[in-house]
Amino acid sequence: MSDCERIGVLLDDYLSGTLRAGDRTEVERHLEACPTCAREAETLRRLLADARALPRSIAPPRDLWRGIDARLEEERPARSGRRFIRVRPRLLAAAAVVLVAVTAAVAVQLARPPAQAPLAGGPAVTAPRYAAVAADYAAAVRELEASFVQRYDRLPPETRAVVSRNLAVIDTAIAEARAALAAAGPNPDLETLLWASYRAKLDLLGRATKL
Amino acid sequence: MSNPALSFPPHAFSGRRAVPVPRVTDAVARAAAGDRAAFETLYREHAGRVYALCLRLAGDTTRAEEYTQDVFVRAWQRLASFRGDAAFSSWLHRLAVNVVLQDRRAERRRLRRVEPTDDLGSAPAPRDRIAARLDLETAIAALPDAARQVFVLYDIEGYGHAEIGRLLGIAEGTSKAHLHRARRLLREALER
Repeated sequence: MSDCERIGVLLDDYLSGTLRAGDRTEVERHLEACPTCAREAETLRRLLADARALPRSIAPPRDLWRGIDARLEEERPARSGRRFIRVRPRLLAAAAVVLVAVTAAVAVQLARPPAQAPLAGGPAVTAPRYAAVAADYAAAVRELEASFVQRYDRLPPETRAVVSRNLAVIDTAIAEARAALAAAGPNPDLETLLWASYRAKLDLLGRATKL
Repeated sequence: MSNPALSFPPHAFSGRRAVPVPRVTDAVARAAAGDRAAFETLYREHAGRVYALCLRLAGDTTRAEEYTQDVFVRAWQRLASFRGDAAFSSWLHRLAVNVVLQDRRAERRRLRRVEPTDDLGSAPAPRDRIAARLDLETAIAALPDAARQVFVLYDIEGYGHAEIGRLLGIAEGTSKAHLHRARRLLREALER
């Protein structure tokens, strides 16, 4: 290993201030004699100074309180003894497939006569709030879709195929959940599925626009 | 090993050089008793700090929003266990780190089993797809997951390698290797 390579290995700890005294002296002597390593050290030092100067607070691009408040509202039955289970939207295609299947199953349940036992779950959101949440999601999806369309042609064909296939599955889940809700009226399980489907779509679009 | 390069105490969420003062503020006490308006006050006060942390750890605005909401929901659920041994801001900071990292770990496990899509998202963007002028935040967001998380925790948040190793479930040496890689990638990205 050359001197410069060895110093390169020690440079991280040197700049972090965690290098032992003997090694620190060696690094400092080398930096005085080697302009290339000195430049590299200076660049890194500036990078770390810039990183430490980054703002510690960044306002979210939209007010997230409404979504938090809605979830806290859903929490209330859980605090009085019922267990609340939140569906996470991160399985992408696999989750979307599950959503389609579960949504279909719930729709079948709802299609049965009213004498059937009601589905488990907390209280459904009120119609105005449902509409507001749905509109929020739809607006966010439209925004990301517009960004995604701009990137679409620059994606490799295999990536386009994966993303398009997953979007189609999620769109099916959204359409089925919306249709079931339109037929059944307010229903917490269907709403949970619909929000999860929207979040899966936002998640996928968000990542696709960064590719 | 701690991180002496930063002059502020790790996890000091209320300011880089501010020393957290153990206290249970009135708003925290009221929120812990179930007062949602008081909890909204806490959200308004801390949302920016939590969002910034989530954004940098996740490297993705959509996820950062979702994680921020998760953090506050989790905080609401656990407020009763907050004893005021540390500042609320420090407690919330730790909670946020755990929420994000636990989810990223779980997601990696899930995606190993079912779906390759995440690899597309977490892979470093090819050179020609990165805008010509990268700012530091953009460059950090483009880092591979592990390198980004270690860089954010070590160089921005002031955690030590031993603690990062525990949080990420990796060896201390691996944390150092990720940091080295992150710094190198950032330097290269910003020099383009």
